[in-house]
Amino acid sequence: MATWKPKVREDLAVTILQDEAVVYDTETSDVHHLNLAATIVFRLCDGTLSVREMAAEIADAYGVSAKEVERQVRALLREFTDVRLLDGRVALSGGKRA
Amino acid sequence: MDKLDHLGWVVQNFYELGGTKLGIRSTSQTFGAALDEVLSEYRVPPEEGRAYYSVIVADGAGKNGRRSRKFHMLYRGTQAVVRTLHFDTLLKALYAELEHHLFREREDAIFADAALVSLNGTTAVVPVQFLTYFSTPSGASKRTGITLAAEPFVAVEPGSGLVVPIRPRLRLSEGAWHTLAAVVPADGGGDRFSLERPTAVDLVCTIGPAEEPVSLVPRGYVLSRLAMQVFNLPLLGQTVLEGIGQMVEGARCYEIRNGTVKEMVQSLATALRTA
Repeated sequence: MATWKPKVREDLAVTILQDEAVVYDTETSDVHHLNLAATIVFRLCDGTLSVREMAAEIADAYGVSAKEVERQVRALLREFTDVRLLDGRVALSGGKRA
Repeated sequence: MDKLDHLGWVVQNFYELGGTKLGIRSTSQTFGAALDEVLSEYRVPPEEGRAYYSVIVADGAGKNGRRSRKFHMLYRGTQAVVRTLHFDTLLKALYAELEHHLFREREDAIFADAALVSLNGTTAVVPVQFLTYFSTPSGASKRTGITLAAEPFVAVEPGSGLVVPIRPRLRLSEGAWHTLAAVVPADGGGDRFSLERPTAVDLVCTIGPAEEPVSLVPRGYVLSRLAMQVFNLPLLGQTVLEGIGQMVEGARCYEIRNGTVKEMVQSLATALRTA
């Protein structure tokens, strides 16, 4: 089974202010404000990195434990999925496509 | 029962603006007739149902044992939009209210359901609730010195993030607006300011459950809250985020803590003074 590489929906309107993203979902008309941590993960969701690779990249940049970062990344991706900011339907427990 | 129904409406007409049918009623036959002439292109047959706008025209003297009406007032539903001694102020607010029914289809500006206020030359975009706070007889604005813009909406230029005057789009009968303005003789005064040119705002405020009466909050948060109040967000999408983003980028962003009207107005005044 292919490794899941999260990708933000292309039809979202996005702007970044002071390193925090504001996202307008044209389908639901919802506007989301992402804090700094969520914005870092959101920007890495370009469809080229797996969850583990994202966590490694963040851990490397901030000098923190990759394992702890991965837990937080998964939690954020779960939130992104809940509000449908990502392409496709995913299950996050194992980080693999449903 | 409509809480305004006791106020003595003598005229009510119906119009269709931007696909919305709405009734406008008034306590003045003369005003109603003049307005009907102004909006003749949008007139539709009378319908059942309550009016969307209610206009009380001050008569200055009591009649038939009724108290005199000192203030001109405009209601949207039961929400007071304007309470003023100056007829010109009422007309500007009414005009903007009528224009706003076209906002969803317009691309020349970002139109937000928000209010523009000023104190000692410092301007702020604030949630629309403040319109009501300043339109009640509490005298809140008098105590703080805060003045409101005559237009109860905010237009933002997409390319610059500046607040701009709302360009008229309604097709009104030529000269009819002057007839309407003549219903009550001009008094040369006004208790609200008119935006004459593109202006950078100093503050953008939201209302929320903050711990302090006034708190600095992230610009992205304020942008997300204000974007939800933009009429033409579905039409403009990304343009709205960038335009409002430019506006908040150059402003201080505050959250006013939910509280009584007096507390919130005082908090707004504090924010305006410290900007």
